[in-house]
Amino acid sequence: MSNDNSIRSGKSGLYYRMNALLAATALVIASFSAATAVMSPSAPSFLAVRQAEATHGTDCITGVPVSCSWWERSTSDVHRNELSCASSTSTTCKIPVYLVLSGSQSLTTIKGTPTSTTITAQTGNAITLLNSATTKIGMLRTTTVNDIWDNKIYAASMDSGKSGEVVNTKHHCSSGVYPFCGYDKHLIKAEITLNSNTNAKPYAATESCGANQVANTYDLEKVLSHEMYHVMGFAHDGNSASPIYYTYMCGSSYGYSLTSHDDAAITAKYP
Amino acid sequence: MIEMTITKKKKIGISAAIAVPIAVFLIIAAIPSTTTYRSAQLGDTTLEFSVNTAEKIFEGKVVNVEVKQIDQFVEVPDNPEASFLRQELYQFVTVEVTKYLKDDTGEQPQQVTFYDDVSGCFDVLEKKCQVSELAIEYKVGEKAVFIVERIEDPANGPLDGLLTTLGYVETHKIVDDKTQSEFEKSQDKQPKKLADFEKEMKDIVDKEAKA
Repeated sequence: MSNDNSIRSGKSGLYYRMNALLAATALVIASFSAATAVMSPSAPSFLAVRQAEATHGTDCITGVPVSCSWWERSTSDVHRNELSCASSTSTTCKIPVYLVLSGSQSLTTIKGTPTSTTITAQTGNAITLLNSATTKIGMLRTTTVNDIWDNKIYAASMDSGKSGEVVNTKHHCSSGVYPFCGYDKHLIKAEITLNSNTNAKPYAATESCGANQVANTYDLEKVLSHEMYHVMGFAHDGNSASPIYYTYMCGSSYGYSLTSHDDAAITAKYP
Repeated sequence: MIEMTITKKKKIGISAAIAVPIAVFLIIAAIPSTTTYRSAQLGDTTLEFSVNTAEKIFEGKVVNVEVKQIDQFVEVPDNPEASFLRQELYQFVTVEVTKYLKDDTGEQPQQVTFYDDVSGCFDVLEKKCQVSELAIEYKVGEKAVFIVERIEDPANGPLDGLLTTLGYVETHKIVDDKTQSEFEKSQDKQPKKLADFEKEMKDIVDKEAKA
């Protein structure tokens, strides 16, 4: 009978198994390629995807403290830096911060080149302020690094219009293994950067003010209070007297003490 | 008669050939996203500060927007255990320039690319996402006045020497010959006439030049 059996005749079982294996391999490679392609920067799915999750501004301004949260609070997680460490029974929970004081991104390189003594003292003042709201949460300066999640404060170059920034945050893995873990809103780590851009305004132990509450020199304490307030899990507030107001306001009436709204927000988040 | 017999081993092979890639794809698709948050404190929002620190101020149309992840290793020499990797998403925006109001370099290139904070996802599977409180969206075809500065990073990081903007304050989008930044919008300030805004900036540039 004339057919294409001739093509197949004489081929061993190994031949077919090899073909099947090659086909499977090719499909696996193709699948990986396709998956990689959709994950590549050339296929951006951009903006506002998760913007709604960053609740900020309006609710804080209208005075609903718990809506001012960036991150939700958990009572069951064990990560030492996670905001959940402020459980209802805890009276000693403190979020560690580590000052980077050596290397190319040392805080001594920020504009104004403050000394490490000044930086340390100003950090202490900021911590004292933030810890005054409640015993259930607070900040603690650490000089030893205990794990990779410790919150670093260091110098970084950014747009000169910024006085400080919270960056490189990491969240709790609700599933999987880091870095392929499931995202949730429980903060593990948040770093703080102060501006080393040569165009930026300088930092010092005391501020100097121009017109309309615009600073010529930033008070380090005030900027650090603002950024560490973020590390405690809060977004910006609309009260210009608050340390967490979104703009640096120069003057003794701004940012040097917690408002009643700050106290209410912090104690509501960490009861 | 054509021999069409498929052995059990072949069936397994074919099944594996189909199932394995599908499983791999599904596993990748099922890996949840890793959203991070960013927020900056605004230090100086005055137009005078923005203009004075700018290298270039120009009007133009957005022709490309690309999101990139920038990695930077932060080394702490006196405590190596404190060293770490910083990973951030930025949007790189390319603008076709139609008019220059300032260029300290005098070069006045036809196209300018700068970076800004980003809010959104890096990929369609939403595996890498970032929420920045002060990020704004740039759309291809949009017209605006852009105020950009050159990043001078003493640590020679990966962004050193690039142009950047605090777009929330410094990108003034043009609609019907009026301009407004997102910051001004948040302050309930009315859009300005483009010609008036240009004059305002020119006055600052002239004042700076005289100083």
